[in-house]
Amino acid sequence: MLGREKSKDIAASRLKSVLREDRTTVSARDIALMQLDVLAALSGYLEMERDEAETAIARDRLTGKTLLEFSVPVRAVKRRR
Amino acid sequence: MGEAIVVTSGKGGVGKTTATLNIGAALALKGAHVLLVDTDIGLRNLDVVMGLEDKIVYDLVDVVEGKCRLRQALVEDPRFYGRLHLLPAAQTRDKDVVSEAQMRALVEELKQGADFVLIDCPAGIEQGFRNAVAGADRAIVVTMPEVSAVRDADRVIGILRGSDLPDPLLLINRVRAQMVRRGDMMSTADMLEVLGCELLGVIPDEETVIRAGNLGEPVARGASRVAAAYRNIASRLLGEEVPFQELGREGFFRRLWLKLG
Repeated sequence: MLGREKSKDIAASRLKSVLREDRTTVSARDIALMQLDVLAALSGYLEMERDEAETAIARDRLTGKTLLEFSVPVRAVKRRR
Repeated sequence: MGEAIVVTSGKGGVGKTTATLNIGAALALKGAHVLLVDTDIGLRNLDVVMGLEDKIVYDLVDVVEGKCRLRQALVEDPRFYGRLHLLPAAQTRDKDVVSEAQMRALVEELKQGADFVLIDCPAGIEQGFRNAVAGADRAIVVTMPEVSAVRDADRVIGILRGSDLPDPLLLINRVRAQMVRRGDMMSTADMLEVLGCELLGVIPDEETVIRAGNLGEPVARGASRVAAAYRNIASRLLGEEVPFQELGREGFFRRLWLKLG
């Protein structure tokens, strides 16, 4: 029994990890809107295959951090002066 | 014109209905005119918790559909000298017979005749929840020291913050001081840290609540610690600054209060 972790501390840490997931869920609609905004922001710099763009919110298993993953094939870099 | 406060929780069974009644009763004891609204259409319970189940003639849906006047549907709690009334939910209808716009209009009308309109919200986050929240000026989120209950509270708080109710007040129900001291129950501080809300009150877990429920009367009228906790909540809602009760031997809530205050 000595040194046994308190059950409330286990509860608190389970709670925190559940909430980390819950709080970073984004609706499919919001993901789609976010993707449109990102594409619009990049369109001044890149020519992209817009239809193949992908956006997701994911959790990095190693660091536990929440990451935004965005990928899009680039057709060409726009010349800027 | 009064204030409309919705009492919600996400999870069922955390004591929303009991909390609605007792906050209302405590406010009425302090002289406020209080109207309790049961929005749990199809699963009404506030009437039974209050012991008024035999006095219902009309209900919320009848009022919304114009089958009776508001006055006819209100049931008075005879123990509170005309200061506590109930607008019961319909028991035999569906949750979606009432729209958010209709609820907003109804609550607006109710606020004309009361200092506080307390709206008891159904469990869940579907249409019934959206209806209950629609006309409210403020929200109270009820939770208890369990992972599932706090998780659901967090979800509801997130939804409220995304709507017109950005600063919900937290009511922590069913706290057992002994277990908190032993380290077998999450403390108020643990929950506040996670939820990041303003604390409205902490209700100890006492048998008096169950006994009062059996009898169909509010605990807030008695002399228990639960009653004292509800009266403190009423004072806070009326704008008074009341220190939090000491539930733990080491003056935990006092320290917490000092930290928060």
